[in-house]
Formats: sequence, C-alpha cells, structure tokens
Amino acid sequence: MVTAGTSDEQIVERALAGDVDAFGEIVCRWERRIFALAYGILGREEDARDATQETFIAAFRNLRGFRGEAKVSSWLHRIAVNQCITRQRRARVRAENSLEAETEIGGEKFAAPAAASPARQAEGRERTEAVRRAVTGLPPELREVIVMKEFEDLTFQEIADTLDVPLSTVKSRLYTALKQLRLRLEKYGVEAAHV
Amino acid sequence: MNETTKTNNCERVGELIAYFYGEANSTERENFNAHLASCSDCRDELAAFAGVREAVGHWRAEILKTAPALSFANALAPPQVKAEPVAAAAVSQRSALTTLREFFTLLPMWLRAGAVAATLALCALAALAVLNAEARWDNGGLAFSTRLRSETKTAPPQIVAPTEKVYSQAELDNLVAERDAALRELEDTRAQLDDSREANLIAAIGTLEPALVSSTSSTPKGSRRERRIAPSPNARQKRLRDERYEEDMPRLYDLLNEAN
Repeated sequence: MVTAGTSDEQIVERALAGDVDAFGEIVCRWERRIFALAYGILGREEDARDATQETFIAAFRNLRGFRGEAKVSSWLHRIAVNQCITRQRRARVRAENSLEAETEIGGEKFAAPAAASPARQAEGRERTEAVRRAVTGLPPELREVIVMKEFEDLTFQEIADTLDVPLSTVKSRLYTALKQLRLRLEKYGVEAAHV
Repeated sequence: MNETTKTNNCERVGELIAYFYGEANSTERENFNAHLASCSDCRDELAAFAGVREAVGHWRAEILKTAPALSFANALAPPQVKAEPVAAAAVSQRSALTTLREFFTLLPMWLRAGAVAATLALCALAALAVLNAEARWDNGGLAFSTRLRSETKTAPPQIVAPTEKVYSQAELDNLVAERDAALRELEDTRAQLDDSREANLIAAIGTLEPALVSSTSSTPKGSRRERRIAPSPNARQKRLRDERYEEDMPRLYDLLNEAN
C-alpha cells in the first residue's frame, strides 16, 4: 500500500512491478506542480493542461526507461520542460507565439483567495496578472530557466542537464531573466513590498 | 522598486546569481559578502531580485491554488480524446429541439389543438397500458400482456366424445338373432358353393376318367396310381373336403408373420 511516507522512487518500482495504481499516485503527487511549471513556461492554462497530460503520458510510456539514476522529480521535470519546449517551437512555427498580445487569456483565472476584501482581491488580481504578463513576455529561453528555478527550485546543474546547456549559460540566462522581470514589473507598477 | 533602475556595472554578476540562489559554496559566499559591503550596485540588485522572486512566488502559489485537478484516467487518455463528442451530441440535441419548436409554432391553431389532443390520447393509452400491464411466468414461458385489447370470453372448443346409443336387452337380443341368422345364411351359402364346386369337380373327373383309364390300361391292375385316380365317390368327396379344410386353415408361418 502506498502511504505518504513512500518515496517517489519506491512508487515507481511498484509501478514497474505491475502495480497499476502506483503510477496514479505519482500523478496525484505531481500533477499540480507540473501544471504550474507548464503554465509558467507556456503562459496559457489550456496549453499547460495539455502539456501536463502529455508529460504523464510520456512518463508512463517510458516508465521502463527510468533507471533510478536521477530522482523521479527531476525525471518528470525534464519530461515536462521538453513537452513545453516542443509546444513552444510548434507555436513559433505557427507564428502564434505573440504572448504579449494575449493579454487577457488566463489572467482572470488565478484570482486572489475569497477571504480577502474585494479591493484587496482586485489589487491581488492586478498584481498577479502583471507578474503573469511579465513572465510570459520573456523570451522562451529565459522563461524556461526562471520558471524551472523559481517554481521548482531546480539547481543550476539540473537546469543545465535538462536544457542541455552549459552551467554558465544557465547562470547568465537567470541573471538576464531577473533583470528583465524587474524592469517589466516596474513598468506594470508592481511594488515589491506589496506583492 | 520605486527608484529608477540602476545599471549594475559590476562584473561579478555570475557570483551574484550563485549567492542569490544559495548555490555558492562557503568560500564564495564569504567573498561575495565582502564584495557587497563595498558594491552598492550589487546590493541594490539583490534587493530588487528578492522582490521579483517574491512576486513570482506569489504568482506560483496562485497557480497551484487554482490548478485544475487532473484525474489519472484523463492523464493517461490519448490527448485527442476529449469531451468533444458529448458537446457535439448536446449541440445536435439542442438543434433538434429548436427545430421541433419552430415547426410547432408554424402550425395553424386547429392543427396545434389536434396535435395536443392526439398527444394526450397517446399518453392516456400509454398510461393504461402501463397500469394494466401484466407479466406472467408459467410453463409456456414469460408472457406480457397490456390488456389493451378486450378479452373475449369465448370458451375454448371442447372435444365432445360421441355419445353411444343405449340399447335395450330386447334390441340386443334381436341384434344377436340377426347376427346368428346372417351367419347361418353365410354358412349355407358357403356350403352350397362348396357343393356346386364339388359337383363340378366330380363331373370334370367323371369326364376325364374314361380317358385316363384307357391311357393307363397297360399299367398293372390295382396299382397305387390307379387306386388314387379312381377312388369311390364317397372317399373322393371326403378327400376333397379334407383338402379344402387344409387350405382354409391358417398356416403357422402366416400367423407368425402377422404376429410380428
């Protein structure tokens, strides 16, 4: 039986041994975080949902390829980021990657908690929307690294391995991404103290 | 972040990032701490980056809070399999209803009233059928009856055995007497027939006998053949009767065949 204390690696071992429900537990544990990662990179809820599903489908199909050398979380992140990158490339080919133009898509869906006052909710929504626009407006290569770092707290090395780029590239991209976000948030009038 | 963003002219941005994300080792951290004491650009930038992290972290928390839950089955279902057929079915159902409604509104009033009356009658019939429905399970299998058709109480056709005529004793006696008389008449007729046949045979033999005697005159007198061909009339008659009796007697072989 899978309990909260069971590690991801143990669950994957069970899934490999034929336990049908084991992989479902992996999905339950990681689906929200993978969705958030995909949303951070892609900037659209629908795309993020599809990318999340495709991530778990790919993981399930390649379950036997998981050798246990890396953590299950790193393995899933790598699959998810690859799914997002593939989607971005497809979108670029279709010339549909004008994320700045998609100003209102998905922004209303991530509202502040209902416990806050209406004014506070409106303020929170405005700031959340500003951050979303700032992040999704970054170039894809910067967006990928900042989301992987800020959303999943992957190490520089893990990001480098996932994207197959040098460690120095990861650091420089992160620095550039942070600088651009700072500028964009200032442009949108978001004050760090209130966010 | 209200202040005008200053450009960081410091060249140690690589160290700044490792320091900022906590990936610098202890030596690098000590060195950069010493650098921060003297570099206002790096201090300002670190503070601004912290604000950015906070904003992005808040956004991530919002995403996680409102992220749609994906079921395991959905996650493993092929991506192209979505709820489109259901939506298409709903659209087709809507369009059919709309068409029906439009058709009904276009009908004249008398036709609408007739349609309503017919619908009500149909509903009443259906209700009656449901109320009177009877299901029965017997040797003949499952039977279901709505009793919509009136049952005719016709009795099943009965097979009447032919009534036998009752005879009185006198009638029976008469019948027996008639039968005996008929039997006697039959016997007489048969005896007359036999006599006539016998007479014919005797006459035929009588005509043939002289010829036979002449043709067999050369044979020794008193031979068995002569005695057999020319018996006395009484003996001949007796022999013919015996032969006829043997012919009338059923053979054992025939009886066995009939029995089989």
